[in-house]
Amino acid sequence: MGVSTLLYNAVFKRTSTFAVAILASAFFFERGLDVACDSIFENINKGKLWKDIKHKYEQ
Amino acid sequence: MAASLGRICGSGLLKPNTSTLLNQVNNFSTVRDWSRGRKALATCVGLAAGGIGTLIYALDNSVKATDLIAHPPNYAWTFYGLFNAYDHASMRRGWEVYKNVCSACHSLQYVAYRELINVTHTEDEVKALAEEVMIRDGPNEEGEYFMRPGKPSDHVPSPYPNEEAARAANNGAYPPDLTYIVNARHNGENYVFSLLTGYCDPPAGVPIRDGQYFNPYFPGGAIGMAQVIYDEVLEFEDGTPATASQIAKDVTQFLTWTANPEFDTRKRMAIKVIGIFSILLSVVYYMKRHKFSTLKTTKIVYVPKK
Amino acid sequence: MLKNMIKHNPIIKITYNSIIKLPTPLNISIWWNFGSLLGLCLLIQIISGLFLSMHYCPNINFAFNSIIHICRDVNYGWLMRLIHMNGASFFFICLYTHMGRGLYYMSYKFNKVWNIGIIILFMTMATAFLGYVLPWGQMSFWGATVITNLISAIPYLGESIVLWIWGSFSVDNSTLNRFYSLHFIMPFIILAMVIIHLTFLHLTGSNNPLGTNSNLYKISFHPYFTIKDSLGFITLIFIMLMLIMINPYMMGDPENFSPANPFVTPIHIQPEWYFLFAYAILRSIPNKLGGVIALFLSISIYFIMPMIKNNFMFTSKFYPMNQIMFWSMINIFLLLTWLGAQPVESPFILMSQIMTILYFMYFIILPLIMKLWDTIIFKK
Repeated sequence: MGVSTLLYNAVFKRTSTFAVAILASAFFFERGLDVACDSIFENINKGKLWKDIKHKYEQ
Repeated sequence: MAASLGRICGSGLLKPNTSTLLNQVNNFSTVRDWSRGRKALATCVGLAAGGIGTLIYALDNSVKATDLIAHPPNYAWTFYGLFNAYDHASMRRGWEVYKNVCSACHSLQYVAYRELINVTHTEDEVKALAEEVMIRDGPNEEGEYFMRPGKPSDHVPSPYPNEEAARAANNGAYPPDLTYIVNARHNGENYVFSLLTGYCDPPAGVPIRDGQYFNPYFPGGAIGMAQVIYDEVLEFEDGTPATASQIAKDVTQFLTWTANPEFDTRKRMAIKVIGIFSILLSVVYYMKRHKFSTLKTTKIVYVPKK
Repeated sequence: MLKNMIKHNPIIKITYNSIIKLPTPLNISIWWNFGSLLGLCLLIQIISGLFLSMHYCPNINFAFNSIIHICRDVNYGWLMRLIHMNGASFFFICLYTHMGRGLYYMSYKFNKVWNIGIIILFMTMATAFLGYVLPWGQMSFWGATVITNLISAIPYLGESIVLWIWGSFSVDNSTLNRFYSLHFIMPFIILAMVIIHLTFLHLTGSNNPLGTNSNLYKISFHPYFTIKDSLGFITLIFIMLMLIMINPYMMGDPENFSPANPFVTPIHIQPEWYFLFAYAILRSIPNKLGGVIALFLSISIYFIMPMIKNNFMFTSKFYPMNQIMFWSMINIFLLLTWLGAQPVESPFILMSQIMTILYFMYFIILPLIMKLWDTIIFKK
């Protein structure tokens, strides 16, 4: 029994588990994409953003 | 043409055997029957037409000789580029320049102090900045207007109460509001920078009246604003050497932000848009090809009646 | 039970028959995507416009400030504003492409669909013009002044009609307020017209690139064209969002960032890019009334297209001369667009006059050249 069969029996076979899987994966995907994109943005603009200079002005 | 090209290039994904498909596509092409010479001619004519068009466009765009005005050059701003954000340290210095130099004549009426929080200043600093100015408020319980120290929710106060007062104090010239000045001019940031640093003596034959100054970047040449940006006209709190070009650059960066306060969010979103849509596009494109694969490989045979 | 509902419920039945079961020609190409893209554009504009209307204030003292309030203070108000602003441009890109498709593949043979389409084009242009006035910037005000003044060219009644439209003695608060009301209602009328457009289309079914009888080989709309249209939707939204995120004011005019001022005339008054071709045609005619008529004709002349029939084949695929004509027309359109943005000076005046003549020549030469080709090739 391969991974796909296991996955099918555990998740995709029933609508209830399938729907839960969709919701959960959407949540984690969105979080993951958000974090990844933000880190790309902050990497490109290193030194220019407010978070890079705010330590100078905060007590 | 593009469709045939796409069919040839992208067919490998879905078809086990590309060569037959290639032949099929080739059969539908109307260009196939052309002679070599005709194909070469068509290509040459196409290239020549495109080339001439591009050349004319490039010439027209590079010279821009239609009107009597100096067009500002494009400077290498650090926020140019697909994902580049504003330089917040520069913006903070730009706010100092506005506050110490520009604000004598120019308003910044659409900007509230709170917008500076976590952009150029910390919350405490903004509170202190706002308290420096007095804001007219009221009416109070006695029905009278009164002055109170500013709060972060207040807008930056204007130097003149109305346009007429501003004109009266400036030889009839109205110092425009600076909030959207960068968006309200063609090639905004380059124009503002060039204007600030571009003052020079008027060439022979250009009459300049009293209270006017010559600036080649200003439409008409005669501007009511004197040169205000000089080396060391102010001192930056972070110790950056205050050369004229540094001051002009920083204030331009600040004014670019006042016109586009959402700029950084927009650029951040651009990455997310690419992230989401590249996935969506490739999945839907594959699904489309998948659904259509049976149709695209259908063969229709005509069998004439005996 | 479900089958019964699909067959008999009036609303589900219509939906089912027009986006699931609808027999669609097998061979319609990517150019047939633009109809559904226009539907998407209309929805994007209606929804983003609805959100904007929640914070907009149609009064000359507050309009400009309320837009700034939307952009600066409302949560993601800037996004809604930029979507609505650039959405108009994409609307017109799709409209012109959709129409160009109709011209090239002679879809005007369905004359009811075609004529309603032109009415929709007119109404969309009116809506876009009304909407452009709402931010009450310099270009809004002067654009409205220039365009409404055109009506005064109508003999005898012109002056009265202009005053009636303004509701005042110049473009003023009453004008702005009524333009807002009209801008709000027009999209829903357009929506109704679109439904009529589709009803007539579905009576006969789509045309196809070969111009033959489309009924010879049809496939169901779902899943083939639902997925193809989704691909189009995603592509359009992707391009639109990238434009909004990277360079949102590319299509706009810097003048509109200054509040309207009746005492200061901008140096170059010009409409948004999608009206430039008509604007160039308007300016190329020295006489005011003549210019207005030419402006009106530049769109309404498409009403005569369905009268061009009797040709042997119903597509430009088999008429090489037509193809040359068509692509020349596209170039004339682009050149007129460019000329509309140029100042009224020496080379440009003559150029726009020539281009205007060539623009209208298309409708005269096209049927002749098709007749000629039919005679030569098909011996008909």
